[in-house]
Amino acid sequence: MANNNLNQPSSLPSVIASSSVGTLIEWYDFYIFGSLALEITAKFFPASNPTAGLLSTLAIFAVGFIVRPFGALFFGRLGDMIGRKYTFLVTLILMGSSTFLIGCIPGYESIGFFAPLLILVLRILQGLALGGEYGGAATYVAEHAPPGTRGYWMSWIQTTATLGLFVSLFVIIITRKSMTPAEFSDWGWRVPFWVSIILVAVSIVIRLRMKESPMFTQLKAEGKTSANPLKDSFGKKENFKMVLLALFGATMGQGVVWYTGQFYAQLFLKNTCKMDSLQVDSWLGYALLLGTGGFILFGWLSDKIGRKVIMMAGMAAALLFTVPLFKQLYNTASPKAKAALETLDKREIKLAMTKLAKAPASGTADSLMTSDTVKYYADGSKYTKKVETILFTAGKPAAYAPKVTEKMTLSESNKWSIIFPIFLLVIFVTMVYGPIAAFLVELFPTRIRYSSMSLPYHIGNGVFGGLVPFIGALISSYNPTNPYAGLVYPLSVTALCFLIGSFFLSNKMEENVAD
Amino acid sequence: MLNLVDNKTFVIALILIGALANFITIPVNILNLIKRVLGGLWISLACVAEYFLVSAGSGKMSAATGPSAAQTITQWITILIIFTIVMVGFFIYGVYGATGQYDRAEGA
Repeated sequence: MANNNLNQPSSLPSVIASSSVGTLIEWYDFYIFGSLALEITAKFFPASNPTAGLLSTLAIFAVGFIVRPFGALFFGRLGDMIGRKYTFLVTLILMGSSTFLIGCIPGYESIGFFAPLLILVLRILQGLALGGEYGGAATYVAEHAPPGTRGYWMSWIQTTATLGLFVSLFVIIITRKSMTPAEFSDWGWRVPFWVSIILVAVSIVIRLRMKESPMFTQLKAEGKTSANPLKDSFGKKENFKMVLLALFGATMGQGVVWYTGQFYAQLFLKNTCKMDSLQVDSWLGYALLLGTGGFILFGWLSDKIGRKVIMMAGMAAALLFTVPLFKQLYNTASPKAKAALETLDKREIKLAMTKLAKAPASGTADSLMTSDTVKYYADGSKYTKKVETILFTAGKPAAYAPKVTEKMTLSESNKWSIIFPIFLLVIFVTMVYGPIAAFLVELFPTRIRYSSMSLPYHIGNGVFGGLVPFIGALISSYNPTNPYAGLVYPLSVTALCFLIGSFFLSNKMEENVAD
Repeated sequence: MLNLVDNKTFVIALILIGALANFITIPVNILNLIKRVLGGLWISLACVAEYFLVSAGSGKMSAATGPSAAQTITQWITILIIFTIVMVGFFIYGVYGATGQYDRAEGA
């Protein structure tokens, strides 16, 4: 069987396609949860219930960066013991079924506390599956790719994360547009989760036809697989020091550059600039699609001039240009920065007083005052602000802070002023992320490659990268007057990683990975 | 801190240092010396970062009140556990660097 596999290797494009499709679907599954977080929170985590709120925190906050490294360890160990093919088939099934089930769970109103609990469990399974998937796919492709073109072939796997985000945004936008907002909020948000099962079924069929990695097959036939991959990876100094080097010299910087370019930019436009959510997702989709070719370009280039040089250049570019690019986004989109364009004669303010049907528990409510402000700008953009305040009788102080809803809808003339900076940020992402899979597989031997490369990758991306939105928002809350304060964290980590990588990493490429 | 990473002089100096390491062949003995000195720096940085992390986290957790207190505490406990492990890793990395584990052999 082993020799049969070695004698009849799968064609490289089919290996790439079958690996990439599955990985893309896993990213899709992981991202739709985040993109639909508002709808999920409303259905499963009511703000009135503190336990549900806590579960929400764990499900949305913790899974991204706690569970993924554990998935890397668990499935990495399996992959180094029983093989790459079966392990990442398991991760795909686990991810697909978890995603589908999220779309099937009845809301909090139907089954109460079990609803958020089930969401938490399924989200943990998603995180574990993702932790196991990427290392397997990267290792599998690397062990098929010929020397000298490994960076190019592996860069196809690298496109999947960005394309997964793109496909998730695309499916959500199509679903939103095909129904009314009320229908989407009621049941339509479940559709992207159900779509996953079709994608996963197709991918499973493709992956079942794949053969085991030839290098692993040979290793197994010779009885040289590791009996305890975790001990061999992290218990032996010679290998553990390379795991640490991969983490602090490459993946931690790559993780923060990636999350800043794709997710923090999205969050920044929605939260700081108050841009319309649908508009942000659509324009981000353009930038992602335009930038995706960069993964292939820099993967190919890394075969010519080395992996390290390109990754370090990407980090240097991110250090130099991230703040100016975010300033460009802010100046284009934020209502605060666009104030000079406003003309007072085009401002509309409407006040409405409504008698409340039901008094709040803390006092006798009198009225709900709604203030709607609409501002128009010279370039055709429109800003709306709705403030809802409860007014009490007899001059009693309001028990609740006013609810403020803001939305900036930019005119089409601003489209490329938003897309181009994000496109450049995505290009930096492709520089650091394009060559990294080839870099990681060349750092570790076949017998422990799956375990060894998965852990630094998922700590770098899951922990350092995954924390960018949270820490960014936290730092911003301390510095409300500085819209760019949240960039301190990713830029500091990038600077440190750039320094470490520049001095400690080698630019040499390991031609032979069959060791 | 934002002033530092938004400071063009600092960023350009950092990139020049990096470019020096990336594009100029530094004699092996000098490169190894730099790695050992940086290893010592990473050890110090790991300790200082952990101190600030624990200070900030404990301050935030003790100040948390109201319905969102449990969420704030959960978030900070998660961050403290995860980053303490990462800082231990960074400390060990510094020790490896300072003791010459990443030294390049002459002629390599």
